[in-house]
Amino acid sequence: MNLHSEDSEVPDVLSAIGQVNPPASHVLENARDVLWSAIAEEMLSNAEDRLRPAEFEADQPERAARQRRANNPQQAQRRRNAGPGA
Amino acid sequence: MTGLMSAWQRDGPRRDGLLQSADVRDGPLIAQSLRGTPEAFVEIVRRHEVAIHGYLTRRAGPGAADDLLGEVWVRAFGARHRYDPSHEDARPWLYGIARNVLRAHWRTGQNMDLALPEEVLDPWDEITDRLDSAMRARALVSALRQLPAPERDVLLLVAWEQLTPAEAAITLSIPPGTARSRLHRARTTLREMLAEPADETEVRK
Repeated sequence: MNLHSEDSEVPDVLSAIGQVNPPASHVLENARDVLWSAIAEEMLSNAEDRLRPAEFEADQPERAARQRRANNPQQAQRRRNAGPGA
Repeated sequence: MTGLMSAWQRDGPRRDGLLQSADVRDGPLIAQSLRGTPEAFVEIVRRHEVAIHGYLTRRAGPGAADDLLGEVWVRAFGARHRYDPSHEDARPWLYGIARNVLRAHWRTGQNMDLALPEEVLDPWDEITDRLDSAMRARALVSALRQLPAPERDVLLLVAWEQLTPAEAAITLSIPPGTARSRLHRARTTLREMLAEPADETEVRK
């Protein structure tokens, strides 16, 4: 167990007491199952997000027309002059 | 869920356009998992699951390691957008997440004495039982217990997990120079402790 040497990175005894048995395969599989739940959740969320832009784009022409009207000062003035009942 | 995912689990996440080769480093795989193919992250898990389970076992015992491994993957998956893609090997980052899971696990324990982390007690006892005939091992375990936790963390990441000091620094979110100095202090302290005449009371405890 030579702790003097920086080159002998892992002294024998220190290395020996760090030895552990490899995990059983079912342990690894169970842990991956937990991960898959999180992945499935994100995939569903992504699918929902992909639907949302389509709805937004379908609404675009009307939204753009509203924006043009709001940005046109002459139209806006005419609407104000016409009063609330126009 | 298991039925739905069984084909993917059996075959791995092999779909057109998905990076699969063993030549592909961890960084690009994690980046791909962020670009609409989250299942690419499973390959990261496959690469490092034995190492991370070993780390959990060494620090918390085998039973706790089995319970905590899934939580490590979920946390890593949720935090993958924070992964620095310039790091080709995800291991130091995953060890850091596993360490956070361990700390949360230890906080739920009844022994709240943070100055002497309870996490090391059970594994150490198991280790000394296993190596009962090796007095040097007992002395070393005793010395490890007495090391300050920050120094012990760096030492064990390097000695047991085979990380370089720079990689241990990533795991612990500290500068590389700090990791190197902690490692040096840990080695020096251990050397001094082991050079002293054995304290029979401590060693045989």
